[in-house]
Amino acid sequence: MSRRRKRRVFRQIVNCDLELRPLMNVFIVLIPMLLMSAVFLEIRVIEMTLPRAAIADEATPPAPPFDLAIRIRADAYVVEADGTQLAVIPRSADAAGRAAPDADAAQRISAALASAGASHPDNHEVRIVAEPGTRYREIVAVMDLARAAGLPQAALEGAESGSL
Amino acid sequence: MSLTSLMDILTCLLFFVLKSFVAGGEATVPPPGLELPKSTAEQPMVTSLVIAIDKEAILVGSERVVSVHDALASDRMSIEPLADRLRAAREQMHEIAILRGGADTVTRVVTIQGDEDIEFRVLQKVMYTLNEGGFQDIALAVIKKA
Repeated sequence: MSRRRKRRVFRQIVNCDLELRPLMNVFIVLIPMLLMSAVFLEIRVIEMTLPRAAIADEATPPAPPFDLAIRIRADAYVVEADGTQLAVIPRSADAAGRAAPDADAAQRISAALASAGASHPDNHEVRIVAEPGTRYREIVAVMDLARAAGLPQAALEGAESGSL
Repeated sequence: MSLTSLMDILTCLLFFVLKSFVAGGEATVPPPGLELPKSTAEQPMVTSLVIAIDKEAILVGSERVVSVHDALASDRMSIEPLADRLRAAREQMHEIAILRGGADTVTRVVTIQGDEDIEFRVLQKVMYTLNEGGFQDIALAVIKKA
């Protein structure tokens, strides 16, 4: 009697698990590189347009219909309209050390700008007149106040030299 | 060792970092040591010539042009080294515009990245020099307030 020869069946065991280590290697290189180059601070811009230098040689441009200005002095912020002082907001002793306007001064400046703008709702321009020693952060803070009061077009001017 | 949970964390982290990745080139990042002022401005930054003003020097792109001390020492409102550099930059932009086929598409926008502690006199001289150099459109870079 023949014996059936048993056939040995070699079952190949296949590992069905995903091989994650190559992907891990890529991630470990990619993530530190992106973390080092990522910028988590949002940078924005305040746009300005300077008057063309050539215009200085031509006829004087017409004066704007309503001249609103904020003067940044060492002792106070002065809001002027058509050359008339509307408000003089004294600066605190800390602010005199060239910091941005404090909350009280900011509120009073905003109120002065709002009352000045109420009579001229079509005006969106304001001149910011700064002394040579005025810090840049103060100028930006005053620009923010002007923008919040509906005056997005701010022109920078030196107290001694006039407009740029 | 099961790596599935670690993969979940790394995948989330990767997507977050890719989302916040700013691909604007190195010119959009202020130089080290320069603290931009904080502002409520909302307009995004556009690709433009970048001038950085820190406490020590004035840089165009990443190239130091003149020191702040030398810029203030001059009685003239215009900063000569900066004016020369701007002239070269304008010619370069004009050549690039011609190569691209549009000579009238030269962008004259300049972004100023100024340290929040710089004085107005420095900014005034830089802006005067820019105006003389034909760059009337200026963007002051700030950090958005949270």
